[in-house]
Amino acid sequence: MSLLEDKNAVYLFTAYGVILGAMTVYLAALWLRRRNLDRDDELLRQIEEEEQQGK
Amino acid sequence: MESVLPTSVSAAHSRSRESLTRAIGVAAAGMLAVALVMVFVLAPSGDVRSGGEAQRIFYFHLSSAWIGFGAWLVTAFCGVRYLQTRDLQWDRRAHASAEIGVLFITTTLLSGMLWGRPTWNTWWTWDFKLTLSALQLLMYLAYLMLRGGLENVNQRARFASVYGIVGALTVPLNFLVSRVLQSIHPAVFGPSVNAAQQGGFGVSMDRVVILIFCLVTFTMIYLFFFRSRVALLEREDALAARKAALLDAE
Repeated sequence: MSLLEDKNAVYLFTAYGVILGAMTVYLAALWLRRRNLDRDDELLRQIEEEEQQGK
Repeated sequence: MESVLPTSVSAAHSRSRESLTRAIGVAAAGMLAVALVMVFVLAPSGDVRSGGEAQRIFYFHLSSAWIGFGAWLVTAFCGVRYLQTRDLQWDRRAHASAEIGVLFITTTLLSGMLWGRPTWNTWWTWDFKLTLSALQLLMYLAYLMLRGGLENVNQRARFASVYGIVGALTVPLNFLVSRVLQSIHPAVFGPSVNAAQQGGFGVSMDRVVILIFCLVTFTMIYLFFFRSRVALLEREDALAARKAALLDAE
């Protein structure tokens, strides 16, 4: 019997889908956090430069 | 020159760390692809007693558990190091490891349930090992909530360190439970007096090779996530310090 014909294959594919999906979501969360930090960094740099020019 | 040199050295150091993290990530992704081929193509099917084709869940289930529980030990170790040195870098590492631990304990529980349904004919049972694993997930979440609830950085690091060390005591307990007590959860490796286990199977050499490869792959994934998260936490702290400095100047 092939893997796809087994009645329990649906549990197998769901389990691997859940594990790979969870890792992908965490990876996306890391990417989003990094992007937000880049934006904050840029904004802060602008404010710091304005502060320097103001002095 | 004095102010430029440390910054440039630090920037170069940061770039080299990022390159290494990226290399680990690429290697982990490649290994993950190979691991999937090994699990779905090369691994032998399980018998009906161990879930038939669902038995292949075992490779990533055990690898998730390896990281999920191992991450607690890393959090505890970093907690000990923080208490010894009071260096916040250890606290960031503990935090990053706990966060990744939540991810992998969750996938351990979910993949276990998906194996349990065809093998034990139930999604969940309040077996001691299963209950302890669910409790560990809640403890991880409580660790992160504790961190989120404390404003003072040093107090947060101190409390989290102690909590992390105490929480790690559940890791060896979870390992031993299915070996020294009667539990439905099979103990696939090592000696066991557990006669109540269901769904166990013989571990042939080809299964061991695939399992070891999966364990190494998940360790690489953990390293990639860990290094990436620690780097982000460093940046978050550096930005917070700069914001505080700006507010003080006003």
